[in-house]
Amino acid sequence: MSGPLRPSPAPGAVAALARVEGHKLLVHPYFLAGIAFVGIGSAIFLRATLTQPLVSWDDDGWTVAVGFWMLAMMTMVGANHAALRDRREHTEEQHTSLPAGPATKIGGLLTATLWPAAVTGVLIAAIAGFASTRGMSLSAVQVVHLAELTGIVVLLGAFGVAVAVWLPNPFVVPLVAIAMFVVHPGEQSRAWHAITPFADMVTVELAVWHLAYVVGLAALFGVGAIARSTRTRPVLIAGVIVAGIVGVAAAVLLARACPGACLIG
Amino acid sequence: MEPWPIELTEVSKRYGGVRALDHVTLSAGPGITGLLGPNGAGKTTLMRIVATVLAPDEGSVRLLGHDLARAHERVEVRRRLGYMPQEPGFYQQFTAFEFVDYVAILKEMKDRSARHDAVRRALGAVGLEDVAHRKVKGLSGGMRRRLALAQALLGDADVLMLDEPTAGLDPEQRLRFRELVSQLPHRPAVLLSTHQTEDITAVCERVIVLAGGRIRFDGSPAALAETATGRVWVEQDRNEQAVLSWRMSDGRHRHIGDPPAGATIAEANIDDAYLLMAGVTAQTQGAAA
Repeated sequence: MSGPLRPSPAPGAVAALARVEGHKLLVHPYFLAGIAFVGIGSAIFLRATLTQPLVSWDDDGWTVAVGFWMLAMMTMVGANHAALRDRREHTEEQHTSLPAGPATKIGGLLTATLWPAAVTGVLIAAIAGFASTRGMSLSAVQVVHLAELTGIVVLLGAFGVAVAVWLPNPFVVPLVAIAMFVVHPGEQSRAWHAITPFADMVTVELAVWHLAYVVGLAALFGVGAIARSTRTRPVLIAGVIVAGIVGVAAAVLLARACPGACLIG
Repeated sequence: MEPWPIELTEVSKRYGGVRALDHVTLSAGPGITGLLGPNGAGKTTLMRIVATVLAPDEGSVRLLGHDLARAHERVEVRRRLGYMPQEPGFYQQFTAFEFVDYVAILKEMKDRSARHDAVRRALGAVGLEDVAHRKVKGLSGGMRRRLALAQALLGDADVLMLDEPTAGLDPEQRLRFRELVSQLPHRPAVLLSTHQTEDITAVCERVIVLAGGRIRFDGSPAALAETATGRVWVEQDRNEQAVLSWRMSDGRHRHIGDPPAGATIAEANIDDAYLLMAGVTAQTQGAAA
């Protein structure tokens, strides 16, 4: 009786939980710390646009991207922290007696990562809008790259949830976050570039493929997290589809953009 | 004929070599059934099985006519079940309202406005409406206990499982709890596990005494008290023959067991009966061991 509670997530409950968890993620100290990083990175860039000649997104916009990368990291840790709440607060027993089971909770948490992503999108649009008033309009590739930052927030948020589900230990995700900065597999740090917007995606087509790769990977982590508590046919089919998208996108990127370098360092 | 809301047939549960429940059969209808027993009697195991948290090793459990061995029937039951565990957990960073609302969502209360009304009603029923927007970590132990009760009361559950709900409550809060549980308008089937015989006397129509994983008594509180009639006596000094004895405030000793000839027999109450039953069970088990 203590096994899977219901065959699949309850859609109404997922949406309601997403509202609650999304709000909690936005006021989570980790996310607020991420916002501070965004503020610092963006302030450096915007200050440059006001005080220096010849400022460009390509040469100076990296501080903005790093700020949002930190925000994504903090979202990952925050989502992991939220997903470990039942274990931490000992509410598993009383929640087991409720009709909506773990799959619903995980679905709610995964959907909740769209809230930080939405905030990311709004902030990026505001920064890009301000920069454009300083004569720094974005190219089509740059627009996709900035959009990808939103996808990375969802991706790392979903990763944080998936790790909480499969490796329910509060130290795992913070260690992963640190490792992402410290460990550089291979000769260059390009392994991590595989999921960042800086992976030499010089054409719109490649940038869109990379965006598909990021979004697909986020969905794969999401399906993986849900599969921990329910392995129904729709979940398995979704897993196969998103794995296919990720595989195709990765293959295209490896073949066209940076053979042998981007994804495996 | 309507099925009993709670029906257990030959239910057994083991933890390693320890038999927590030993072929327990019971039925409980609407109204409050008290579950008394010493620590380790199997009360919490029984509560967890009926609350659908734990599966029995043997036997069958039916709630509201549904067989708990079937997954989809368990989900049906859970929609109509309220459970307050012995050691409830809380989301410390949530407010009291948010915490109960979270449970309401997991109870699949879909309409947001109706759900919030139900949450407010549950918090009001346990007297927490004034601290609804205070974080759980800032609530006292008694308030948290009432918060756990509020989440169990959500949605007018048809079966209510309350595992030691008055532990840690002050006398006034206990009185409020009794008033609340005894006046639930829709008259659910309530299984109330407790160490407090006063709670049983005050609100239960029926009491089950569990010891060593078996049912030792099943009847009304008055009938339980009657089992000790003629087996309680008062003497100035302690009597070593008694099953249990204790010194009272007036200096005399109250004894339970088999009274000696000429002893001053006292009126038995539910405490005496319970202690006698638990004491005899312990002695029997000790002798058997």
